[in-house]
Amino acid sequence: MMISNNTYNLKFDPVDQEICFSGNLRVNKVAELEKIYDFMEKVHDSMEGVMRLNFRRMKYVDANGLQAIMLFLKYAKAKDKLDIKLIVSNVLTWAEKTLYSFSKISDRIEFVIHDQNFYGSQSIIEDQDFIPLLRNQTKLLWPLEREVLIKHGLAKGMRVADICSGCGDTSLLVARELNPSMIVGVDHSTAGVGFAMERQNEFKVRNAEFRLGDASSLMLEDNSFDFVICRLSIQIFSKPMDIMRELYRITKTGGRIYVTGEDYDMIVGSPHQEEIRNVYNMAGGYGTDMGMDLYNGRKLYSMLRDMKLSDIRTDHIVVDTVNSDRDAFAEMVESWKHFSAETISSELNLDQSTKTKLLAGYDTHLKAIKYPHGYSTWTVVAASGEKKSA
Amino acid sequence: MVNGKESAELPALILKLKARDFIDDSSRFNMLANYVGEYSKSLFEKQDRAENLVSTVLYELISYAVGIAEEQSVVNISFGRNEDDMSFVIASEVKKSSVPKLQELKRSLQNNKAESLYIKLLQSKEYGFSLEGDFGLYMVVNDYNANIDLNYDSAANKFEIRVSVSIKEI
Repeated sequence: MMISNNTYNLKFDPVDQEICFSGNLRVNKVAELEKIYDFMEKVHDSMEGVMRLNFRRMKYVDANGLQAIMLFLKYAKAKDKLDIKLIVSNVLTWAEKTLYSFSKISDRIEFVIHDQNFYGSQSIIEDQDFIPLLRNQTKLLWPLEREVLIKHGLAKGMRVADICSGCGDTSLLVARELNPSMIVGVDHSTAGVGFAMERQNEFKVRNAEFRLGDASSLMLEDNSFDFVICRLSIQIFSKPMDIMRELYRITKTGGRIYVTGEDYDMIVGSPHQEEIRNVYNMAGGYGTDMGMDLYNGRKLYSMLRDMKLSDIRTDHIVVDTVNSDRDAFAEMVESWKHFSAETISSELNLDQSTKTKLLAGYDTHLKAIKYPHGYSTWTVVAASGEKKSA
Repeated sequence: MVNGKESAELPALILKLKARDFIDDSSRFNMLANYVGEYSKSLFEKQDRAENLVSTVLYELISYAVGIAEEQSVVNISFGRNEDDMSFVIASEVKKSSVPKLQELKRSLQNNKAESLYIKLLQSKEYGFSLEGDFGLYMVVNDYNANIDLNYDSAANKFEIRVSVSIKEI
């Protein structure tokens, strides 16, 4: 069941008992408003329990469209049959403000900001302090990943999306070195997007654009990108398939989805290999406690298979102390040490002895990296697949 | 100008458009509001949220202004920001039949009734759509904590709506 015109779309999803609103609901015809109202009323009358109204992809609504929603909420209040959930994204100012007011119409209306605390580690991942860690990772990965991206099909002139683009370093490198016609970077971190825009301006990069957005509900058209990147991000979300579905939706038929993930079992070092393994076992476990999956790299192939992608390609991007600068490698592990032993420890209220163990483990790893005879690796799994025609 | 680091001189954008253009093609309300939102977003740190706010508020203001404007008149629109606020100004000639409506709105705003009227509308049991109403402006006052000044010059038959919204609302 759905209604739409060329600017908006209201689609009923029976699985979640949800009407998904998308597009731009600025309407100036009473007949059109009545159609929208009738649709909501009909859906309302057909169900029991909870009805969800999901506005995460509705960019604009005018006062007329709002009246249709308001009248429906009054109808639902008068019927007193269902609990209503108004689901919004905090990227959309209108929804956060006006639908909050509308939630006061009835006690049976709940106002839900979907992308507030929608993954366990959100507050720290989206913080300004996380940017140095992202930058250090990119510095090490890019020289190796550049070739992997080409091998996986990223070519000149393509329209590319970088979902969960973080502070935008990789998007800007792709824009400058691989010459897509356009790369659109989307991230949910205001600090990250702000940083990316400043860099874009500083580097005068014309073929890139950055947007604040929710990766599980992207404000991007269906079938609009030749190559869709999502790097080291699926692993931090508790519902990775919500994001994978969006990557699939925005990819053109024949286009490719490229994802990467870490696998903490593949971080090794010598000397003191046991101590090094021990710290990443601990860190991987605490990541799980924060809702992350730091062993996600090994699962990417299956995820792409589940999405019925074809021509699946996989690669290991192996950063080691031979192919990469030891100081840069050490700097990245220093960022991890800070993130894990300070930020995550404090989030999880870890006791002092655990924190000390973590710090000691990272220090051992740092020694192995800095020691000229020492050796260490950090492996990232890259996987991509082609979207087939329906 | 990026991320609001340099404070803009008010106004940043001035437009003069015919009321008739909007009456002939109502999609121009949307076009214009989105244009101003997108054009001015670089004045703000949270660009996407700012774009959404500017477009939403401006859309309601122009819709209201064109609704009461003399069809052949020019609508003057300006938008800008300073350190703490953003400012929207819409001015035009009012059509005679809309003067009572304008005065009614002026009274509501002077008596700070807009917020309570909005809440009353949300709580009332009345049904039915009103495309000519003040709902959009009341929504702007209540949900965006906007200050609206409405000036009506009966001798010149002109009106001016000045709206100020704090940057904190973004």
